[in-house]
Amino acid sequence: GARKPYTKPEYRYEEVFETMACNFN
Amino acid sequence: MERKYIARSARIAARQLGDEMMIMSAVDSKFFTLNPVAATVWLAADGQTPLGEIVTQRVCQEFEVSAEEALRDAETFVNDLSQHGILLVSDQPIATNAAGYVE
Repeated sequence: GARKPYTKPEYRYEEVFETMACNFN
Repeated sequence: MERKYIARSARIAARQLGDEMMIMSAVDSKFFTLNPVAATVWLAADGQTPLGEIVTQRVCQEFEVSAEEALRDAETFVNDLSQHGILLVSDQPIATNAAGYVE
C-alpha cells in the first residue's frame, strides 16, 4: 500500500534505423 | 478547469517491461521508453477518462505527489508525447477500438 517515490513523467526515444545500423548498410 | 482526454494511437506496439513502457511507433519509426509515472499515465489513456481523474486516481494513488504537481507534470508530458503522434489529446472524449486504441 505504500506509495512509491515520484518522478516527473518522462520519456526518451531513439531512431530505430540508427539503432539497426544487412539491408540498411 | 478544462477537461483533457488522452488516447493511444493504434499505430504503435507497446509492451510493459518492469515499471517502464516500451513503445515502437510506426508513425516515425522511433522507439520510446516511458518511465514508471509516464507508463502509469499511458496505461490509463483510454480516451474516456479525463486526465485529471487519471492523475488523482492512478498517479497520486501510486506515487508520493500532490494532485497539483502531478497534473501540471502530466499535462506537459501528454502534450510533448502527442507531438510524436503516438498519443492523442482532446478536450472531448475520444472513441477507441476494443483494445483501447485510436484507429
